[in-house]
Amino acid sequence: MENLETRVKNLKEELHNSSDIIIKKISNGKNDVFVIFIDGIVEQQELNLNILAPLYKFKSFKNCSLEDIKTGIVNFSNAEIIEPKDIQNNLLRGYALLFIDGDERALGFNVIHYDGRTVQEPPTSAVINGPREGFVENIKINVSLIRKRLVCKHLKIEDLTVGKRTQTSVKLLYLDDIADKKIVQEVKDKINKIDIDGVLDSYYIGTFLENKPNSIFRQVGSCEKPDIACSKILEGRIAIIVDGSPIVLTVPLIAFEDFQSSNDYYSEPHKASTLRILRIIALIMSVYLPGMYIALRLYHYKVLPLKFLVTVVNSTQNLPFNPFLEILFIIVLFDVLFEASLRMPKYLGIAVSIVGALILGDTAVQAGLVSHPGVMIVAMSGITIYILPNQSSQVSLLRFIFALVGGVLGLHGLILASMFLFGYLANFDSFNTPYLAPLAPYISNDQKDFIFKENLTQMTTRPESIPNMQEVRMNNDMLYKDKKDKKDNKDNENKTNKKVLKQSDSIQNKLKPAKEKSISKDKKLKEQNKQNNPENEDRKDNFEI
Amino acid sequence: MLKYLWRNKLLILLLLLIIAMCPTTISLPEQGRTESIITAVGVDKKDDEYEITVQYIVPQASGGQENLKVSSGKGKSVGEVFEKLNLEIGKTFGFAHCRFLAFNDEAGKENLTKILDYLLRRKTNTNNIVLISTKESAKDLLSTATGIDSDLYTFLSNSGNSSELKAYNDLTTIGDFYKTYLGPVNCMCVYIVDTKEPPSSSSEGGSSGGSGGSSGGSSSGSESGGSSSSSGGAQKEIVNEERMMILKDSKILIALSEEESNNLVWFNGDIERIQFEVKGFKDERAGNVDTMIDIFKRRVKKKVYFENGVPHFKLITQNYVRASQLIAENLTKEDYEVSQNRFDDDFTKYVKDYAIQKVKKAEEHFKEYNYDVINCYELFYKFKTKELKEYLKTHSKEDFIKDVVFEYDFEFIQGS
Amino acid sequence: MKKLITTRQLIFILLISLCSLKVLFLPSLLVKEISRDSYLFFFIMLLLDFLVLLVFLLLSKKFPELSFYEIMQKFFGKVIAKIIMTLFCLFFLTKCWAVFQSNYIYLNENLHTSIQWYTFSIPLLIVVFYMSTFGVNAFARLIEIMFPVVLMGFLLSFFIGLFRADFTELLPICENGFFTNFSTIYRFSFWFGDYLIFIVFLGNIKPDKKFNLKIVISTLVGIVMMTVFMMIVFSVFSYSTVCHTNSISDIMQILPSSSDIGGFDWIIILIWDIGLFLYFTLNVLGAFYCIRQVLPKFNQQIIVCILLAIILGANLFSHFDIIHTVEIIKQYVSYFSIAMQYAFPILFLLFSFFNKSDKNAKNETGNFSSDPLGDKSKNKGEIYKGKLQPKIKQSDSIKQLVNIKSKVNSKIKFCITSKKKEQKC
Repeated sequence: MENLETRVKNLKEELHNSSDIIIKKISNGKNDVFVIFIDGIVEQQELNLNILAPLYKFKSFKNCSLEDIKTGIVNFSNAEIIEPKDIQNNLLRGYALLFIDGDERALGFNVIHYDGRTVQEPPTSAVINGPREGFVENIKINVSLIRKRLVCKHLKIEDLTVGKRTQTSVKLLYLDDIADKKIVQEVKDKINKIDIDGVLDSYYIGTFLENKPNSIFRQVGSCEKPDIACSKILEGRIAIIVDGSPIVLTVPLIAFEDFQSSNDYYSEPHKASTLRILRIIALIMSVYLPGMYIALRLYHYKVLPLKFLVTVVNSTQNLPFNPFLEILFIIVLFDVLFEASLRMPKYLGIAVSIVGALILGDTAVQAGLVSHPGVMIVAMSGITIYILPNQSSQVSLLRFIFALVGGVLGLHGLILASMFLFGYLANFDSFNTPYLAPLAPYISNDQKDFIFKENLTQMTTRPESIPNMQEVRMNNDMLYKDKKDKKDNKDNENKTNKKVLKQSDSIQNKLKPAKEKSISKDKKLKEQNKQNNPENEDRKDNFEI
Repeated sequence: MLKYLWRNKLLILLLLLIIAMCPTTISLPEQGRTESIITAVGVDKKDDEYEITVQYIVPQASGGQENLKVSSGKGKSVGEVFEKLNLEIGKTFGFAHCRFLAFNDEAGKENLTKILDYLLRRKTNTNNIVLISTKESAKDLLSTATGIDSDLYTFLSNSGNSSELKAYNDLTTIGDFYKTYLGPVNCMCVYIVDTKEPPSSSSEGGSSGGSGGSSGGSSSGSESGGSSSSSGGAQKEIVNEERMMILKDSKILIALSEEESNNLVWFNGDIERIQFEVKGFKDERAGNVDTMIDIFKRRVKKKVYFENGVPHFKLITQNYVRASQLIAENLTKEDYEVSQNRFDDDFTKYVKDYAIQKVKKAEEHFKEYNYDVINCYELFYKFKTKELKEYLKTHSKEDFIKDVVFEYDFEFIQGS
Repeated sequence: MKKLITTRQLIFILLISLCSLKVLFLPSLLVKEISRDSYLFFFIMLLLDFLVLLVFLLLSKKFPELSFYEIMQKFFGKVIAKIIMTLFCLFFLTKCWAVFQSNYIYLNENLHTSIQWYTFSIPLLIVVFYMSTFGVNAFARLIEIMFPVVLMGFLLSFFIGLFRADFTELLPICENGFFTNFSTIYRFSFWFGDYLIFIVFLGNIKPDKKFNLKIVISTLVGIVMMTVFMMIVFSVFSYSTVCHTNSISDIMQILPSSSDIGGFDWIIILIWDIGLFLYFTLNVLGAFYCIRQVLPKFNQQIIVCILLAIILGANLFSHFDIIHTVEIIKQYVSYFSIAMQYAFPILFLLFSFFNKSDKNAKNETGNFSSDPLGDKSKNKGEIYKGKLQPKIKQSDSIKQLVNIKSKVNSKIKFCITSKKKEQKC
């Protein structure tokens, strides 16, 4: 075996003598040990206090094995023996490695520490009620955020690594007894098949999970907040967390998911229903308004009421372009403005958007290039796009296509386009889940969380549209039992003691079967789970934090 | 790029389609510019020549609704004039927003189908254009109503055109016209809207106010009386007394006076409100006070039957009435007390007689001039088909209305 | 075998085919022939159609696992089955031809000031082509989404018409006697018989509880609604039809474009356009389904292309001229359609009595029929089922659980009630 020093030097050379690789030699008499780590991605304090200091104090490393050092010398629990083939990768990931003479392996200390954001409210999914924590770029924190909420032995976390050069760690989170096995396997297969040099964001993984990568529609859900992720996991979906990305992916996706805001679940159901209807109207407006306007003005002016027509005709006279070009021009103008204001530095961005929207629009109207109604229509559809932030990219593309079709073929074209769109979506699926469920196919059981959201107490089952293995999510008996008790108690108060005694007997008799029922139900569910996952009971969770 | 397109074959097709169609679309001017949006048509006939006036929208940058322009042309037939006007204005005509068609007396004395046939054969559905008759010149009427906010347009949109079709005292549209024309009765009425020179002084015209038992249409009661166009430049003003013109066999038969028109209202089941003034009722309590009566709710039933081979028409109405105004020189304290309970038996009887008297006047009138505007024949045709056939073997259909025995059963109930 | 269509979807399909084609230019044609009494004819024809539907329901009950082609094979043998399928394909093609043309004229006269035939047809055919490659399942779902919209259009026109209608216009009934009216009217039977589309779905239906009852009730309600609607239509333009020289599309006539809401009620026309599109696609799918059984080895996309080309060609041949088309239909096509609509179902009925139902026997061709439209739909067939498949074992146990639960429930109830009785005693 070669000398320990040359081994360490070779290791550094293999990594092209990077300047941030630091080698500490700790020599006590004849036997030296080497500690190697990469500066900047390890937690220096911990390394110094708990690992290096005890090592320096130690007298002699003679006859010390790695195991001895791990258990006896250092003051650090998160250490493991690393096989020679993994040495490089672990070093690059941020482990501090300890080498001793006469052992090919190394002792790795998990002192990984990256600087990153702290947990804060994500900017695009701000809520009025409900938790404000959002995911960050650190995968450990992200997992802990979910783990914190799902204290359940069935939460299974599986580790995968993707990216030849980035070695990005990807974690699948799902509830073992709820999530559909087939889908889990499919997701795993798809991720394992990925052969890519680098994964920098969860979007990379998302693209590989899609059945139709060329489609403009999302087939993989995403969320930025642990409470949303947890609720999706509870419904039987699988969450995919990618290191370095604050966006957590969820599969399978149904189209209506984007209409359900997390706020809906933290407020009254009728308010949520109203908002959902509003979102649907907004979506329809944003997609159809420009196309409709062009079609009506180019081909079907007679559909407009007379007074409205007069207003439109008055404001559009002497325009150089026809409505088709006009609207396209305004759409492009607004999109450019939007893009520019997004990219600009914050304070400049505000200025640009104000200048763009107000002054440019107004001067364009006054210069007679575009008309007031045109600007208004595009602005309206532009604003309504962002009521569904997740859908904004598709919707703005659809808006453009519909404007083109409306201009070319009129209302007939719009109808055909929407028929095609809906037919296409109806034919679409994401992991065996119909995209338009529970609308088409109609699933009556899922209507309670569709456009009209029902009270939380009524949502006793998981959505059927998402394949899952356990339909019942809530035992509603308790609720009704309480009510029954209260009611009976009230009645009893007015009656004599004897009657009370009799009645309480009868109540107990009544309750007995109910209790039995609920108990037997639980038992059966348990049995059922056992049947499905026989290893479940003994399995230790794949938990690594 | 090409590979990407090939994967989305539909995208290619769409792109091809759009690329192919875009040039056409871009060069396509908007419809509103190639078609003049017609809001009203006037047809005059003078000396065997048709003069047709069209009122159409001219866009104005300054906004506002008063941007109607009037053009007219003359020719032998309606179609010919329209073609001429097309050339003159430089645009084709779009009739989708046309509100009304006015014709003068002379044009109305001919068969109206001569005028309407051209419009009927347009691609646009012209069935909803309201027919209006005017005495002198439709051209004047059109040039007086200069904005789509003007009184005439408001009147037309308020009156609605969706009730009983061959209705009297309701707007008659071209669709209604044809329905009646081809139906069994062929008798209908249209509104008369006239123009007149404005009075030299600024005082109110004599026709306004509620004198002479005026009655309102279903919802346009406030509209009765003269109303002038707001346009400063127009010399004439519009007079809309809600009089009616009777058309029979699609020709003008007779123009009814305001009172005669109002009398006909009693036959119309669709009209819920009638106002009339009861004069000359004397009793101990009320003395000499005249009363305006307001029927605020009506139920009308028409019953037809044959008795001894004679057709009978029974008009049964239930009227919920209240006194809406007391008219007297000086109203005393007693008058007010009486007005609280005006409808005692005597007064109700008097009102009933008064109403029946009015209805009988209408009956006499249509029997005299032989117009069946209340669709009496049609009712017999629908409900007493067999008997009617028998009856027509011995009698002529033309004079049917003259032989019908009319009976009235009016009930007045006081309400508030 | 995959069941593609749910009961709900089937009901929507039947209702769409009930109302789409008939509201266009049939009423004015009928009024010209038998005036006011046309609604009676309508009602009678719809009831006849309903009887035909019953025959198909019977077939589906007797041979729940067999597709139409397989049933035909069973009855008549392979060759005749193929001939029958070809005939049905032709029948659906004639329907396509008529609805395509009437849709064109409908748009051309009502909505667009002028629309060129290629502007109308090419995009439509492209979309229909893609629709048919998506498969029956996607189409059924599309109908599920769009049906409420069409229903809304129907109800809007229904109620707008209802407020305007005066039903006394329909009096007197049968002025010239009943039979004199109906002697020549059979030639209009072409516009009926839409329930024949049921054959596409035979053997592919995922029946609910009370499947037959649901279908029967919904179609009967549809028939009643349709008859009342036609009463409205005929009462509104009983006398004035003669002047519909241009506007043959009569739905237009009962919608007054009142000045208050402008022409926005014309949007209803647009909604009807959706109904027509769905109907057209449905019939293309029907024709495709039939011809696929005859020519199983051909490339399916090419078959669809050929079918669409035939439809376009037929329309070009008849110059998109509805009066011309109506003449052809009345003189030639009507006999064919009577044979298809009524003679064949009677035949099927007779044969179904002579054949024993074998629910277990399953032909090899079944794979083929389970999935009438191509490979793509084959995958998609699972979409909804996919959810159920992974938990088949589970669902069994859940079923058991539910059963036990319900039994327990009933016992509990029983206990409680008996206890109460005892107490009372």
